Amino acid sequence: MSGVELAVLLIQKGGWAAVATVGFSVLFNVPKYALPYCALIGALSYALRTALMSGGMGMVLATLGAALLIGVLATILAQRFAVSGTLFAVGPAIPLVPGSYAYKAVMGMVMAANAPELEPHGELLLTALDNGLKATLTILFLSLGIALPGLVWTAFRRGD
Amino acid sequence: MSFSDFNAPIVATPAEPASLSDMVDLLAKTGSLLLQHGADAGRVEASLRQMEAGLGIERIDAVVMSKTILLTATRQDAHHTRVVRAPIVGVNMNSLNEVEQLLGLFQQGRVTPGQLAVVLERIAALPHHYSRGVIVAATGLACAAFCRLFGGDWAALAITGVAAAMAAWVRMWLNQRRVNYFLVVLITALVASGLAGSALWLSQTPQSALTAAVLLLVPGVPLINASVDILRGYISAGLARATTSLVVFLGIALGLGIVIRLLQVQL
Repeated sequence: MSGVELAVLLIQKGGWAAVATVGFSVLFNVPKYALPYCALIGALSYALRTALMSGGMGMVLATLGAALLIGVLATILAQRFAVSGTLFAVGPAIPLVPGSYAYKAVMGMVMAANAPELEPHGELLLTALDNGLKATLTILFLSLGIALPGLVWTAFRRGD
Repeated sequence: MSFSDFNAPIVATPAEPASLSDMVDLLAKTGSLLLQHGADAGRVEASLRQMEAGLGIERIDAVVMSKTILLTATRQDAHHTRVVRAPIVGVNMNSLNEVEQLLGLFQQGRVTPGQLAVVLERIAALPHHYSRGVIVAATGLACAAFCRLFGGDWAALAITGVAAAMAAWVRMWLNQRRVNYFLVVLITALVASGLAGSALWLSQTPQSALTAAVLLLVPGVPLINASVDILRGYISAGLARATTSLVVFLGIALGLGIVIRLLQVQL
């Protein structure tokens, strides 16, 4: 993929991720003044994850990187507006939640359990396990990455 | 509307809560307001501990679980314990933010316990920033964006938007009737994927529509809270949230599974 193609892809993905972020932020009753910031953070973090993944990184670690970006930006905005950082972090986090992996994992397990014998259906179980592992670890790293910058900031501020 | 501006007088002089039992009521109100609207366990406990000095209570011990708070307030040689049930009403960042701002002012001594009680009541009664129509449209738009992220074409995007918006409306309607949460998920998933199934005839990428239309049901905030709780050592709260989320995923998988079996598609 050439540089220009990658840039176009990142802008497209970032733009759609911003739409999804604003949609969920409205559902979560985020105040209007915060919506543009949420959209920007959502676009940047999703684009970062796409860039890292197209650079060969797996989804789990790429999500950690994107989540750290959300955490840093949300912490900065939280200081500026004197509010809690979660206001800016919750919306942008949702497009990074591997929802389809999680329900595909459950669906695969139901199908594997429903199959009469394991032998020709073993593939189902393996795929389900793979989806489940990816979903679980991605969510763990997502929340860790979002929370970490805020924790470091508070620890650092107490120091002086 | 914000209540964070306390330069304006709220009420002349509200009655100050005197007894330990009144103070515990105030703590219970604060804790359940936070837990109900999607705060993680650590945040609820920290917020309650933050109120110790302002209420003149020596010690507040709180055990926060996924839908219940146990709290004991100790003052001199008297103590008072309450079990607070906080049914989840849905993520509401505005309420969380207002409560947090209010507690900050309370800690600085700029709000009296009496005023705190009054403002907490007001925050609890605060209407949603956005009307139901806007929320339904926003949910549809969000799922349509996911469809695009999964590589769907414009027809699939439009179908996903309509299906998810209808499903969001159905979910609101069922939640108002206090239907069991698993049934709500199952019925909503059936509606969303059933409508998205029309993409089989109208779109080149029906899989993306089916995958994206049910995403409004993914318990994003409970899942993030579950891992935050577990990472911060609130294991029982975290495991309860994780289990609830797993059941929600089972509901999504069942609803979507029934539809794709009926339509005979492969995801």
